Amino acid sequence: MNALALAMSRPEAPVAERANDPDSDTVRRAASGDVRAFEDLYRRHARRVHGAIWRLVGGVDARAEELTQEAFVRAWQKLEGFRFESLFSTWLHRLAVNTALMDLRSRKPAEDREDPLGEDDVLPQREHRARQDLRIDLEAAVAKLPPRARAVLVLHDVEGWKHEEIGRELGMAVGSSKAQLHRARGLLRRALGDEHE
Amino acid sequence: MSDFELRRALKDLPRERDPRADLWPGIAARLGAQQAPAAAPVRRQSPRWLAIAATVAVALGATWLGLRTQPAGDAPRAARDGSGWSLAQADAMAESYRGAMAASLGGEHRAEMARFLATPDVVAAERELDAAQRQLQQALRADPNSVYLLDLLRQTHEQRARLYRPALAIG
Repeated sequence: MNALALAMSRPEAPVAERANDPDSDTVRRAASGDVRAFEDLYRRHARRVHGAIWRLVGGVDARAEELTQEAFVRAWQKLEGFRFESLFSTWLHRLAVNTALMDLRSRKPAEDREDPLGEDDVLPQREHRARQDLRIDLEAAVAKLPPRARAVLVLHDVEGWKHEEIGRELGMAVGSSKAQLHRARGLLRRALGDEHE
Repeated sequence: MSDFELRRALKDLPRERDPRADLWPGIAARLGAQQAPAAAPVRRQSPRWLAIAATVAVALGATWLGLRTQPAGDAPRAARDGSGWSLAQADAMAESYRGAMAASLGGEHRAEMARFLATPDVVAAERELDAAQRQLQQALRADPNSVYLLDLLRQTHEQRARLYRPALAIG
């Protein structure tokens, strides 16, 4: 799947932004084989990479950590191909998301349950819910979405991707991406609506 | 909860999350088992590797250049007979790659290459590349005129050529 992971055609960052990439020196050292420099890059970006992957895999800690490791190993392998045409953080984030999507693509379609949020999954009623409670419930509800619907929702509503990009990476039509997003939002509203009016 | 409120809540979710433990030791262990990025100017480039790389690059490049300049004429024909233009080019590209590698790796280097291909890391990498090619070919059958997928397939051929680099560099 390395070839698919190579397809990182994220729009380029503005020239001024690229010139100010705070990672550029460290990236050059890492690309020349300096593992300590690469560890610096890991320390700077691990939380963001892991955050994106964790949400895409439905909050499964062990899987997210495994894929985060995989993403950084692939980044090391592909540093030779990084041409500073975007910010390193953008390139790395794209690669990380792609790593998680490859995991998603390897799943059987049957794992995409039609009704993932059943009666047993209704979130517990509480009084005086605060914003923090909503966030926790929302994370839990997102994690229980069918994998593809979750991927579309996370990429569009959390990561800010366009439907065209999502469709390209997930191998689906733009219309399908929009339909999956509509479905995912509907499932989330159904899960949260009664408790967060 | 309205659609607007839901989207705002999603947008406000934290983007960062700490792993439960430091993942760097595991990453470093895997990096230690690998080479430095190929850009590292530490590996001696043998004439044999350069010759093979050039042969493969020319073979793939010629195929790629040909397909980039022909779609206007060939795509409708391929669409008419149902075969798909990119799908046909993928077959031609695979044939070019096989021919270039066979010409470059034969003779006295065959045994050395066989030993290299049997090492666990290479077997795993080959398996990954095989899987990628199978998936791309499957995707091409569903979208047989996709230049994008064809380009990805070309990259897998180039990656496979790079995979052989360590064995060839010592020849």
